[in-house]
Amino acid sequence: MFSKRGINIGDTLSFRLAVIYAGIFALTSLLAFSVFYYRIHSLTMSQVDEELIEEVGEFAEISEEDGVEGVRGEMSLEIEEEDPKEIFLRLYSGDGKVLASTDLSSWGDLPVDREAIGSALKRENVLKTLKLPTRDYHARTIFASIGPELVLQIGMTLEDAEDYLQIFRNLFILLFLAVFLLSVFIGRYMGKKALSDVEKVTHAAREISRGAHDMRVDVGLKYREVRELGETFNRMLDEIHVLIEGMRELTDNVAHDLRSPLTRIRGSAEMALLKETSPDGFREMAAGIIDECDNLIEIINTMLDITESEAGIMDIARDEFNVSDLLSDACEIYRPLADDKEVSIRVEVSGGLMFSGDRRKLQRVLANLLENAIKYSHQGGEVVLSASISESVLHFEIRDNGIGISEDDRPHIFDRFYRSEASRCESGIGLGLTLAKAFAEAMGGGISVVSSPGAGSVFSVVLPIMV
Amino acid sequence: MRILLVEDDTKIADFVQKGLQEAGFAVDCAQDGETGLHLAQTEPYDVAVIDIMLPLLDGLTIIEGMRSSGVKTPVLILSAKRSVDDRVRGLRIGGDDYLTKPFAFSELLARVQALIRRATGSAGPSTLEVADLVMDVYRRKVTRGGREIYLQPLEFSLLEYLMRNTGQVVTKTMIMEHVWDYNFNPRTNVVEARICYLRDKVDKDFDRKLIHTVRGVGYVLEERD
Repeated sequence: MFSKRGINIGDTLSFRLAVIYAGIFALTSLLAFSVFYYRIHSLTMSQVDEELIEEVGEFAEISEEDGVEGVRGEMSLEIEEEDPKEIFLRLYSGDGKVLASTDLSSWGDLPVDREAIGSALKRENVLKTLKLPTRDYHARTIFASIGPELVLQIGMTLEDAEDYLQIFRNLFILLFLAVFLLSVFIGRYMGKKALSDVEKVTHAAREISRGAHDMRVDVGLKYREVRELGETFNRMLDEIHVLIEGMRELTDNVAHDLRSPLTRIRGSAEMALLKETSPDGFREMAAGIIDECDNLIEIINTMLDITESEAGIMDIARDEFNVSDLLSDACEIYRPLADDKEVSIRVEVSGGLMFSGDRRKLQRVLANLLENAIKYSHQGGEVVLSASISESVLHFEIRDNGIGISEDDRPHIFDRFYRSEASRCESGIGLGLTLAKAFAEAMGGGISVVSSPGAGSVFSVVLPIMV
Repeated sequence: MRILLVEDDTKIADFVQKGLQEAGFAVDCAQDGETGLHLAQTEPYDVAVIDIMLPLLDGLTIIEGMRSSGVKTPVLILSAKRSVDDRVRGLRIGGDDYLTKPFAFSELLARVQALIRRATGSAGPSTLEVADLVMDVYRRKVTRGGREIYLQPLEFSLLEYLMRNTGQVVTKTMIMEHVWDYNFNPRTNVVEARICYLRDKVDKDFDRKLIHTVRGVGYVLEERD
């Protein structure tokens, strides 16, 4: 894994970006240069051609006025003005015989091009580029008829034009190389720069995966996309942090709340084995162990219920049921407990409210709240269960005039395993309200409490009415 | 009555087998799915108790295999999974009842008996009698020693359940969920309180007590010497 990352830069994004950038840049500039060069080349050539055509035109006039002799004279005049290395003239008769010629010594072997002469006789100018074995440069030549049965060939070296184009070519190659190198560097630089922020995010992620859980990505990043990546990353980290914290807290709690009953189970079994124990004593121990086991099972099941509802993977049933039946059933079931404490339970429901929702979960929520209300009521207190529907919301209230909840405890009563000082005297595992809240929320609703110490508490559960 | 038990955990298989034998059943045990399916298809059983997680073949496959080969033996599914999904799947495939581990043996026994009752189609008598306690289920009338006892509805259904399961232990969970159809906190002592009230009405004025507590497990209604 390390060697891969260290050696192979071919698969890095910045490298790819640089290559692509340089490639595109080079290709477009090459194209631009080619078009430009082609234009210049053809322009230069047509200039030469024009010059040649103009020249033969002049000779045609002379031929018309002064005949072959006039042409001869003009030819020698012409060559005196020019360097014989740069220009040559040859006059042919209709059958291809050379009638006159300038000094051709520097032009090497120049065969008579009968085909071209033939075409010229038909009044077609023939323009040709000659590759001369003795010369470094090409020559441009024209065959043209300048009179009856009279063809003139003028040749011109392309030295100037080709030198000129050569300069362009060299310049283009130089420029192209410079541009290419520049684009490689720019591409590389821009790629690096754009990705340097990504590097930062990667760096942070690497540190975090090595255990620096509190580290966050610097959000002062330059580019918006990467900044957003960083911010999203940080949000995800926060979320994970919360989950980890929750998990840690949970495992601490679980460790404690599961260990204690296990310790008691183990202890009682061990004592029964160590001591001389009567059959009744063993029976007592077995019964105690079953109690503890049931307790453990309840803790585990309740925790799973809570976790599943909080994770949103719990199935929510849709039962049609009567809300007042639900409340009076709950009252009936819990009445013996209330009677023992001389607490009166009352149900206040306006009419037979029908509701569609998860009846068993709602039972569980109500049972938890009702049991708490009775538990924390004074002798002779009163618990009132009420339900009403308003604005597509089903609203439950469990009201007691018991000991109430202190201000310090109130923010924590829905936390897992939280036990207030007052509640420690009572039995329970500290999950009842957590479960009630998780279930209420899993059903799309919520739970809240209003309480004043000494005067009692009111727990409210709201559930949306599903249509 | 013959029962097939398919369970790979030997300790669980052991106590279930012993318990069922003590309750008067003949029990065949299979420790893996293939043996279980083979037995279920070749031997006549009144009830099959099948764990879901098994070696070779899982419980659901056994049930599918049984049903597809026309074996109609009622099946009680045992599972360590408690999600509603698994329950629904098990029942849809052809299971008849579902029990989550860990369970009270009393509950397993009650469910096995319920499956047998369902299969044989006996609805149970309409008049229940234990010693001098008599219940007329249809007229909802209870008398003991000829004297009428007035019960609240919840108390009546509780007593009916205890009388129908005379001599068998019923757990708190069974009472809450099967008698009162209530989803509750197992640790709450509403059942104890209710039993207490019932005792006041049924046993208090009589020397011979009928409702007994089995510590740690539940309650049993029977005539004891």
